[in-house]
Amino acid sequence: MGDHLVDRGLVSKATLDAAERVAAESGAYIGQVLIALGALDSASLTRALADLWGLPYVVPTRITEALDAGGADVGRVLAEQWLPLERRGDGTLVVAVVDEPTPERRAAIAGALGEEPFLVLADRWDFQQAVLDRYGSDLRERASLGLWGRSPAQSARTVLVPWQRVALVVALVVVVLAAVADLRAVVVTLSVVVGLAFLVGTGFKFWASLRGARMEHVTRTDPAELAALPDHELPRYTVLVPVYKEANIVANLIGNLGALDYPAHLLEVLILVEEDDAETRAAAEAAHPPAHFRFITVPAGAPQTKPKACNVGLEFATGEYLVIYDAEDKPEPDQLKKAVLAFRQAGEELVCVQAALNYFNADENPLTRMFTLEYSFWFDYMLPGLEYGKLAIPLGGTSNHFRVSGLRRLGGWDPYNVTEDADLGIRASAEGLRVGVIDSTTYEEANTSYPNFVRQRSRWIKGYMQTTLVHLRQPFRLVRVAGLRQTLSFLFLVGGTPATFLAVPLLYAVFLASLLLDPQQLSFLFPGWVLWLSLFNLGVGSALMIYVSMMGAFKRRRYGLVLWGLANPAYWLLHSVAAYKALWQLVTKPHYWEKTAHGLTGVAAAAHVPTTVRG
Amino acid sequence: MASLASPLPRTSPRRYAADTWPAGPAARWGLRVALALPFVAVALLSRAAGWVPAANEALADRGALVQWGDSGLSWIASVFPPLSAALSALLGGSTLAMSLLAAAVLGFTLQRLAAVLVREGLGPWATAAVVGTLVLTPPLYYLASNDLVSLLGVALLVLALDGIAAFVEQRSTEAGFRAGLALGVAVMLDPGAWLYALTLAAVAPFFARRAGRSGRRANEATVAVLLFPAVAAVGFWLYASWWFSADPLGGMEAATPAGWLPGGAGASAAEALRQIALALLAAPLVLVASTVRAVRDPWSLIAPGIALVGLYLSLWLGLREAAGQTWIVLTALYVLLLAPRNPRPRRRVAIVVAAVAQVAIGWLVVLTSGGTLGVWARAVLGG
Repeated sequence: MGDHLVDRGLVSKATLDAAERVAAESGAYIGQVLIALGALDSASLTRALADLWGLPYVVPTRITEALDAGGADVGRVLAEQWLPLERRGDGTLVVAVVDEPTPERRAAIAGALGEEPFLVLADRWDFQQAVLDRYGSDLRERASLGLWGRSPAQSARTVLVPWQRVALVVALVVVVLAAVADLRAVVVTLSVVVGLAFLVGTGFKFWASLRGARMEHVTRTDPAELAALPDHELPRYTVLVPVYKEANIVANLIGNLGALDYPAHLLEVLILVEEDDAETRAAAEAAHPPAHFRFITVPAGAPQTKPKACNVGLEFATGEYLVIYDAEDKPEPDQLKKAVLAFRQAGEELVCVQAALNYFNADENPLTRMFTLEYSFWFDYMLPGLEYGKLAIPLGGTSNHFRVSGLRRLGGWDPYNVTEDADLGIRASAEGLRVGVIDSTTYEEANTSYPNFVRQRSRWIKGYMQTTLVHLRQPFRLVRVAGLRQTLSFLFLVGGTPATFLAVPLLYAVFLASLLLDPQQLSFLFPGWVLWLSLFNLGVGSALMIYVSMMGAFKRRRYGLVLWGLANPAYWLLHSVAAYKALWQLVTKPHYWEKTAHGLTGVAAAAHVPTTVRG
Repeated sequence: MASLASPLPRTSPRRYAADTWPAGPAARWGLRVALALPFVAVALLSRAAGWVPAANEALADRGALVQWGDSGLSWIASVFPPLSAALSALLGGSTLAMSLLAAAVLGFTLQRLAAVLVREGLGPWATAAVVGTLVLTPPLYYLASNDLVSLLGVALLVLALDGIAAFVEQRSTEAGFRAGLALGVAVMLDPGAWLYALTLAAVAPFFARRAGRSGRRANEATVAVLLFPAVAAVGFWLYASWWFSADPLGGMEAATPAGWLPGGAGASAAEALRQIALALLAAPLVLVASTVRAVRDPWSLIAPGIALVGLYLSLWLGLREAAGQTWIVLTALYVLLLAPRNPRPRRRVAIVVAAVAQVAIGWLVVLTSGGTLGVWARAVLGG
């Protein structure tokens, strides 16, 4: 192969020798190495291979006429990597392949089509684009309705299943009738419900954080083992980067993801661009991404959501493992290798590992400070605590690393769930699989704008509501498969979070009233134990949540943020605004994706990643 | 087939925590029970001797003010510190139950202290001798039988100081978390605990750097994470007391057994100093170890210094009665913060000798002095 390339004048002998050394050390194909080194482009390599294997070379995207070939559906085309292109004048079916046409492969294709095809060789990336061109509507269908089609109960496409609707109506009727009969009793009962929800939600978070704090001295990845990991033992890795209307920042991802310490020939970065977003695609192409960065056009159509784009990306993923990053993400360079080690040390039941998220623009304004406090607590204490207890982990928006086989087994992401990541983490637990965490951080851009924050947070909270409703559709099955502990932790965390934020204004109103009124004037609403519960929530619950957020910042050595923890009550009020918006949207437009604008920061990522954790 | 066992992350090289020795749960619980039983026996003997535990009686009175589920809460300020009052109310005001609870708490606390000594590599004889200074002398028995609040205060102080030591020496954020929470609970249990918290706040900037906490605002952050639970607890209590009662500070004012600054500020200060000096003289383990530390590594005396200053302030203000508490706290300080790490055999022998001397002095002081502790010991021993 190498000599053939030299003979054709595509590479020099010296370059070939260098590439052969890398290939020998890494176990990779010489062609992959040459492309990764930038010595050869993919199309030239494919032409040379076609010449070597005696096949005609084609650019399949040039053939646009529709072709009805029985036995070739998009699933098979992608899995087996052959694509019927056209019929020749003599009626022979022309089929594009991307790999060497061994006799076995020829026979398999002929068997599937029911006729002997004429094989041509196509470049892998052109092949993918041709599949998108020909099967765009099928892909959209699979990405949108795949999960719903195979298991409607796991999809948020339907907000409430019939029994949930009945239960909701019955509950509302009971509340109204009870209010007519005894309004005070209803208000007191609601106070108790709100108080208990707050108590359980905050209590669980504090308990999990305490357990997470104990993991501080735990080394998840042995540095020596990481350093000794040879390239030839690394698997192929797919990076999905869904982007939409992000022309202003998309070029950054090339620098950020280009810094990953992973052999380029084993890495494929799939930039998922929506069909109607030519601007972002143009901006990304203008940044001249390296050879292993490729674009996948996500077919237009509802729902236009990130999980749908990811499902399309999953169809084309060829990696053994896969990770999702946002365009502005700056992962620590060794993150992929740490994930590989984590998967290898675990059994097949570990389907995903989540890296910690934190912010590079923490000090930009009060909102980014609060966001950073929250994330430090969540990813450094809360999630490790959940992992320690082997409890369900709702995944964060990016830096979720998957075992591709397990992800496909789970059915990919739910495009109708607006926190598809959290839903997937819970679904994994509900299926008896497990999600873990790794000690690596991805730095992101914290939201700098208050309206943008409310939009983003309302989506997250709505997603938690959707996820709660979805996984409670079959509560007995959930308990049976996932276990009671997993079920309760899911309820306390995913169900408890929106409930807590919905309860905040009521608790604050009572606190303000207490400053103005005598206890006797409020006693009709807070008789006896109800008052004790409310006081406990106000004093102990709030203080504990403030404390864990302070500790999170302290652990991250962001000392300037620690006292900002005292501003949490105001931050929670902002969450509460988002929670009520989320509740309203759950009723009016449950699948609407509130797009978060990125690129609003005036801070450069590289300059503000803490030096203690910079790779 | 893939393993279904969780690949729990491996621990990095570190010594085991104080709450995981002995390694087997059965042995650990057995040790706790064995350490608690003598205190149960002495509590029963004390009761049989007709001794009236004044501090526990006062706690029972405070606990009787608690009206569960009451929405008036006009009594709220009077029960400060509220957690100990609530505990008393839960125990029905029974002084025997208080003593038994104290014994149970001591089972855990002494096991933890023993584990610290094992962790520090003192060896079985020195460990037994040091723990013996506490379990073979009357002060701790007196405290367990008579003063649940102080005993719980000491136990939480042990937890907090152990946390601060690990926070500084092992740079463990989790340990700081634990210390802060222990202090937060302590201020709601023991009226003297907030003095430890204040002392801690005053000296935190001095050890923040040593704890690996350097950089802009590291000092304020260190103070904040160690003190927030205590400040929040007291702050919330003041708010609730202000809202519900006519005299929000009444409970705090009544927290001293013999009034604030008993005998006046000057006399109380001198008496507190005398008490601490006597307790130090009666604790050769502490005296020798702190002298060695002062010469070799003065910074390591910060945490014991916090406790000592807190102890002094609480004695000066009248929040704590001496009656052996100072001596117990000093001995606990030795275990947590002063005991040498992996001592050589000769030094182990010296520790054993010092511990035996401390036990002897402990008995001598108790039996020859006319203080409360001596009277109680003679009553229990039937003398």
